[in-house]
Amino acid sequence: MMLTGRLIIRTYVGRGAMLWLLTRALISAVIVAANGNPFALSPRSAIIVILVSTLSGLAQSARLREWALLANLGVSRTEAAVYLALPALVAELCVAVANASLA
Amino acid sequence: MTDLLCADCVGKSYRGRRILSSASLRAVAGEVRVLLGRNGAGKSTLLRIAAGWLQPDTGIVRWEGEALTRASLPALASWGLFYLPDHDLLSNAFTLRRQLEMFHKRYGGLSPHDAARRTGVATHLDKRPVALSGGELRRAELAAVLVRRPACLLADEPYRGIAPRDAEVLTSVFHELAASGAAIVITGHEVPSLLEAAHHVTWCVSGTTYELGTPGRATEDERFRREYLGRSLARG
Repeated sequence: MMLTGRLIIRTYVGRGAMLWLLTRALISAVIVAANGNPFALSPRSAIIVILVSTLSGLAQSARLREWALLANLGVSRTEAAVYLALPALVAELCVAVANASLA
Repeated sequence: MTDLLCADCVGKSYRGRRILSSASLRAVAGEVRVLLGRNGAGKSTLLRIAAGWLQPDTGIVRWEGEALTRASLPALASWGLFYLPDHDLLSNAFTLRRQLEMFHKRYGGLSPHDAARRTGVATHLDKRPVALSGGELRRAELAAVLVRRPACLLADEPYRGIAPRDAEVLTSVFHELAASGAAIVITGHEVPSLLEAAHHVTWCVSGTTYELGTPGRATEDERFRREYLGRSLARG
């Protein structure tokens, strides 16, 4: 059911990107403090980053009381989760590819 | 008359408490139906189940006669349903204009500006819902209904906390939608406004429903008068 308006997709993808940036910055800070390379995350850690940013996005949607609005627009929670996860997934792939090519 | 949406023989329990035992709800094209009942009778639960916002323990939801094994609001909304909950339809994350535009871009219908003007919220288009009063918020939600132009509208307590003049706007919009062929079901406790809007009355009591017919016939029903309307309203 990917017929959703661009406005909603843009909003959710943008929010997902912001939350990924925030999650990544926090995790990178912790890794740097432990003298590690913040760009060399294991696949498992990258999945955790994606999950954390997506779940934060879903929690934010609940806090902003968007579910009734989204449902009336024909958007399910699963679809919203996909839009939130997409930028995190793409960004983590880009980071992994860039890190592999530099190594 | 065609049932556009029908919740049949619905049962639902919460934490061991039976809310609905064998309740039914029909949304009929061209009719405004009101669902009346005391607090805790299960009206909102029945409406949520019919809207696919809540899953029943027993019973079935039908859309245009087709039984849905697991009705979901996003799917029903895509087919033409609009569910107006008793609160929090509009999100505080966006301005009213942006949310109306979302409905317009998704479904077409009345333009956001025309809908806002019709419901008297044109001056609030660039505000977020949190900046609106209760009555303004209800009218803003009604603007979303007008933009959507649904085939079926389920509205939970649309008259709650609004001024008599706003109630008139609400009633005229419901009648306008019904005249254009939409099926409308509304709940609430504002009996005079609801009976004025209604073509048909359904009474929800003790987890089940009774079809009372037209408002005139409903007010003649002895048990309904005694157990719900009370003496003052029954006299009026």
